[in-house]
Amino acid sequence: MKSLRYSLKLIGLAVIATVLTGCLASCRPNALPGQAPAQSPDSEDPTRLTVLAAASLTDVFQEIGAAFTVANPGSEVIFSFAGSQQLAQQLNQGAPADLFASADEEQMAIVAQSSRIAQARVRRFAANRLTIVLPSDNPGSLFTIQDLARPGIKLIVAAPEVPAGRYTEQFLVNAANGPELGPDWVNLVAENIVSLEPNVRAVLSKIALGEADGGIVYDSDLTNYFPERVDNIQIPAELNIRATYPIAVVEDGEQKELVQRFIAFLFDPEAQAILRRHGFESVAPQ
Amino acid sequence: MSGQIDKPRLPPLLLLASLPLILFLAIPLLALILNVPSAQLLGHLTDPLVAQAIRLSMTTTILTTALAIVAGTPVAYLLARFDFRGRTLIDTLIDLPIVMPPAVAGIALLLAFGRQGLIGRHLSAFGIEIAFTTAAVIMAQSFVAIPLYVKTAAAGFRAASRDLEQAAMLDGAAGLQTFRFITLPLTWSILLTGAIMSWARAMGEFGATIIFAGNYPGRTQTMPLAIYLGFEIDFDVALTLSTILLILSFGVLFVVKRLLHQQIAAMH
Repeated sequence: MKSLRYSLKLIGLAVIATVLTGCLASCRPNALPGQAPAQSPDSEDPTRLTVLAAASLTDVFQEIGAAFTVANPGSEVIFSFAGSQQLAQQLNQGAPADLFASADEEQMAIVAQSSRIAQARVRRFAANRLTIVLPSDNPGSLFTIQDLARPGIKLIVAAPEVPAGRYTEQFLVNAANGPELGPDWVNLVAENIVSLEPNVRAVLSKIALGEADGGIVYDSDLTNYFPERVDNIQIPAELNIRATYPIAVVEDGEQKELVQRFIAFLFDPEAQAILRRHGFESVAPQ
Repeated sequence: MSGQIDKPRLPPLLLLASLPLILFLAIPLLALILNVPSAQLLGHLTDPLVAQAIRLSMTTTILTTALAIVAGTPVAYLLARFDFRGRTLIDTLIDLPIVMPPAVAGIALLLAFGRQGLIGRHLSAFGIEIAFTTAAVIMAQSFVAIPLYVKTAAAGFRAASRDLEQAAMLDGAAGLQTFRFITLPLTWSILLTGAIMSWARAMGEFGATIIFAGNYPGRTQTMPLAIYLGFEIDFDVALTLSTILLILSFGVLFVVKRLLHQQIAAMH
């Protein structure tokens, strides 16, 4: 009995010691892995920037990031692309980052609530519009915007929780109020929607695969990814929305100097030209 | 000092060694439940979107489990009892969906049964399009969950005593009769366990569903999908949905296991 109690005490001590060691080595307050990059920006790595950016910025930001690294040798930019609403939640839960670029103002405001970004320091760096995308072989025979309402057509859009989905709803409201299309058109279109995707790139992918007859994505999505597999129908300017992309420094990020250089770079002619090349509208720096 | 003669005492060392894992599984679940105010929980239950998701999840997973039993039992029996050329291949094939990332399963299903898919394009000609339908949800769940049933059932068939079966066949019972009256009663508890595992996996299925079936309330938005998107608008909504899913799953699993335990105890 005595030896059993002794062994138990030993094991208990060993377990406690292991747990404590593990905790001290890796515990960080407010660390949430999730889809954020596994490595956090800290003082051991003075040249790495962590940027959380909306899914629609995937290709353009990667190119801008590469250009930035060339202009700033020794620096590294790590991106995490996802629906802005996902990134906003991650930031509010404490995900480590230096910059947040959202596809709409709402998600930026949500992050401002947790004070991880300062609303006063938010700047808009690009704009985007919606467009109707279809597979290049046009299985649904869509030629005009009215065709979207044809019964039996399959449409996919981003979920209303996603900025692209919210913009889509806004466009539909505009269409309902406008003289050309009206509420009947909107109702028929709504009936044709078969899926609400968690980000705009998922919409694009499924269209490119030919799974649906049409979808609503950003103008910028047309130039990326699968330009030869998709086609588009333009949305009339008076019905379209204008999505402005805000970007903000994460207040508790550690790369204070590098992050300012990235923002300056973003508003430089080179980056703005890259944005335009990817289908975004460039915005005057604010 | 000594416990009852028929129930051995739990060795304390064994208990201590098991504690870390039990705690590791229990603590996050506890944290989840503790973070949801119960008033919100009841309120959300009446939310039409939540109700739709629960109903869809229950319907599809029950159908998937039924499919598992009907389609999976022959395969399990085949793998357990017969040796033939290609047996290892089929066995590995059944294992694949278990190790495959669910998203990959979703993409594969899309490439097979989507509108331009290998099989899908021919079905399309007849006007049958599977993606974005509830049937697609069941297919996605089946793909990832039925292999679990097959593995468990095969293990059950392998372990069943052949003596009784052989005796029955000597007495003139046909193959199917032997299966129905001898094998099944011997193995039903393991088959049921496999069915529960399959159901549980189907309940949690997300990746293949969202890619193959899409996301639409009432039609394809199962509870995991509703939670995923709920997480993005409102953390509290996600918490509530997650807790409901947890309680539902825990409830069903617990009740069935209890029943099984009682039945097995009664048999001895």
